[in-house]
Amino acid sequence: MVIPLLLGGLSLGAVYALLALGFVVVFRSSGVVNFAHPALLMIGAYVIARVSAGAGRPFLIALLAGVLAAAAVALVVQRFLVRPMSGRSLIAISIMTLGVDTIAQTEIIRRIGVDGYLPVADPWGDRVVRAGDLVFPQSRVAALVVAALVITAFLLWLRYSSWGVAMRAVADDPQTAALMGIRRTTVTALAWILAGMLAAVAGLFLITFPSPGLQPVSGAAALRAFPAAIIGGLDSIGGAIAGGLIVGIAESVVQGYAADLSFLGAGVHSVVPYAVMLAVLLVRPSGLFGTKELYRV
Amino acid sequence: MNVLTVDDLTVRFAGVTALDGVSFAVRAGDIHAIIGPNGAGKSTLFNVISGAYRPASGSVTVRGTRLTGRAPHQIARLGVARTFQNIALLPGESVEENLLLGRHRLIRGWRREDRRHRDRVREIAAFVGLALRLDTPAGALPYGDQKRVELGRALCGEPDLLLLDEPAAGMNAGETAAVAGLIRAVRESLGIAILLVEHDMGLVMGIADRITVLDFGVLIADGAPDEVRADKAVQTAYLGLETPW
Amino acid sequence: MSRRRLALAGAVAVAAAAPFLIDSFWLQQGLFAMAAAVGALGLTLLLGQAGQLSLGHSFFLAAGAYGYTFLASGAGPRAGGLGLSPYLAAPLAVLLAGLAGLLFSPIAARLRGIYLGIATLGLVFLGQHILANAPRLTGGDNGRSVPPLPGFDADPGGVRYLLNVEWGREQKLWYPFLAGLLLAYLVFQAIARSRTGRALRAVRDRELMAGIVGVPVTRFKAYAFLISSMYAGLGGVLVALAFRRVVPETFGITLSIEYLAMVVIGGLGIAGGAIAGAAFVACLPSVLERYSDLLPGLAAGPGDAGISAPVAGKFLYGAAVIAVLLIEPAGLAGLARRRPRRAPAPAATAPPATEHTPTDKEVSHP
Repeated sequence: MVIPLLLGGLSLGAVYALLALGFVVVFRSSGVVNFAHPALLMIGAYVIARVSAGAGRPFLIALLAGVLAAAAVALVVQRFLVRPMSGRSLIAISIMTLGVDTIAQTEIIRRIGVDGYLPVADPWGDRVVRAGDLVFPQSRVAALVVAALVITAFLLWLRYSSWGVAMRAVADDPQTAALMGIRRTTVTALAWILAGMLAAVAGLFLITFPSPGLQPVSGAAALRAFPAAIIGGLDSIGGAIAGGLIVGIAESVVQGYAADLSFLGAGVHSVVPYAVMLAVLLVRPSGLFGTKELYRV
Repeated sequence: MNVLTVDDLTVRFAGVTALDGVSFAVRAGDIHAIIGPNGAGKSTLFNVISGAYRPASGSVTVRGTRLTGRAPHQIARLGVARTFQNIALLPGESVEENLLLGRHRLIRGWRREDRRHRDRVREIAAFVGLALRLDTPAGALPYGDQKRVELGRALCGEPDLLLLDEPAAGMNAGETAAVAGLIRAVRESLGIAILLVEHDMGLVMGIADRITVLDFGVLIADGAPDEVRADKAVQTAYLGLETPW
Repeated sequence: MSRRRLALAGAVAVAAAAPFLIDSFWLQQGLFAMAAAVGALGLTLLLGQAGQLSLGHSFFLAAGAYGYTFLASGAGPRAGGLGLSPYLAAPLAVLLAGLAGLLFSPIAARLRGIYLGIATLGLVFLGQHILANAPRLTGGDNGRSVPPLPGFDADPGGVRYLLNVEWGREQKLWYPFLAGLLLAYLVFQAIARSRTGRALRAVRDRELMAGIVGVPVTRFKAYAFLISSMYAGLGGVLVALAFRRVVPETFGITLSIEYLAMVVIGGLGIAGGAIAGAAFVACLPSVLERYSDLLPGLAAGPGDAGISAPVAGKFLYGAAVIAVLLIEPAGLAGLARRRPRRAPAPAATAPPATEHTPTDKEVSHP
């Protein structure tokens, strides 16, 4: 009983880690809490689902379309809405992204229908993998594998590629980075693009089996990237991954033992990420791996 | 009687030892200056005294009460007030409101301020030369006047110890002389002990009763201006730079 | 009397005359707007004056709405209640919301502005979870009806008239609502103009300096959170009374975002702004629906081509939030201020509230 739960948790956690990662990357480079992140996920998922439904299209095209769509929207938001607000307070910009999220999610929900769902024609469908007594949806395995690959690729890119180094430099020491000729605006745009791409991939796996497809509540699932990122520490890449995994595993385990935990109420598994977040914040107001504020006046 | 005692203070962050076993005292009624090359630890010292940093070891006491380890507002209640090098005013609020903020710990309740507090603020505003500017938004004032508001706000807290963080920064000779006069006037009329960090040696030598010299976080001299001026270690620290006096 | 007091008295007089001048549809909109305004005042105190972003406002609205409904309803087959007098239930509900705020305030006070925003997200989902699992409280997903205020409801015997105006529920309820809003407004101004308001604004703009100057920062953040939760509690009671029905689904994240939109659009930190913004966001869907045949692209009803009124409302206030933040950060209040005025605005309510001068740590480089 435990192993499928843990596997499921890892799979879900990997998806949350992808989401939290994109969110943290933007926070590290812009300082902005991007409340439109769930919208990026929904846009990516929507495009993937729509394009994949077209007859005869290879799924990879649909995936690419979704990733590009989300990346494009992220870039537009950064370039035309966030950048003009440069120098303003971070809370102001974050609230602005709430406005963006409202508009984007309203439009997508309008297209799906308040009670509707948009299925995706992914290559895994409802098929399962069998290993001895274990039965596990293929899409969940794919989620874990793809997310792990993407995260690894991202970490390697961050560590070794010149743009990755530039991004880290700007996050760690903006003045020196600027002195070394790294254009902050380009790096920031790159961060937002990455956030869109990661959100789209995560979005795909939130709408595959066992989910019926993209639904209005998918946005709420995307919101769980926020507690994941906070648990890890808003400015920590490693923290985002850890936070995502923690949230995914906790949610999966609690859902698995729902019968035993029924006294906590039905559906308590969707509250668990927030409960864990509040518990962590009580003890570590900056998250597990976040930088503690060292004030300079 | 010492108003402030710094005892074996050590502060470390990010692998750097910003202050290393620093000890000195500020006597009641003194104007006491902290000087040293850039990076010597002067701002760190101020930030520890204000409660923004915690020391790794050592302590700071105000009239016998330990202040290290306390929250900043508790330190304010012990009678310590400071100005900030990068002006920390509320730019959208009037000078009067900014000054009244300095009196926070003395004002009670929700009601609009007593006549008393506003009168006192008026007095202090006149003292620092801002009597005509009370209704002006602080952000609209020229730099020199903003520094006066900083000083006024600190005085509005009726402190026993005033910390001045580079009061003459960015000022020309005339403005610096005015600042020097104001600092002396504060000591004379209010009897407050003053600890200041400053780079302008003319100002320091002109008004300080005692000088403490820091270099790389270490105290290298502590005494009357003449002693410090003649001190070999101090001269070495400033070697390569034009000796400021 | 000072100019400001005169203006306020004038506004109250006009508002008091409204039931004689405008029809029931608009009075009902006004009730919605006043209920929202009370909640919005609390949020603008927390965000605009104290600089603390909270997404949890709907939690405290729910506490007020369900607190009142449960306390004032009699126990029934589908849902429970304590059967108290509504005049007792209402203040108790406000206290209940305040208690919830007090319990959360230790967390709230320790977090920096933006972390608080995300932490309060947890409150909303916690609240939704509680509501989903407490059918005796909520009456299930379809909701339950709200006990009216005795004396301020429709007459069972038939229509009555006052000065030739049909005097029904909306006309009667107008006055307690107006009184509640006036009280909320006056308390806000009292706080904003006192040393508390000054301290909150210092915490908002220069948190470290505020502490050094003697403001106990953590304690004041907690105060702000507590006060705003009580405002939301009262707002929740009024919302329940205005809608006559409470449904769990209402009190989710969308509602919190709507209140944020209200205070941003109206102008952060300013009482008049909160009221104006609340009127705008609260009445938008109904007004759009009413005039949907005049507005292109709007669907007149379900099944009609075009965008439905609630959806259009969301687009509009989402766009308004973005527009305000990009163009006129002081919102509607800022626009009002742009007209030439004889005297400068009082400092206690002056903008900019989103515009604190950022320290190096905080300045954004998007």
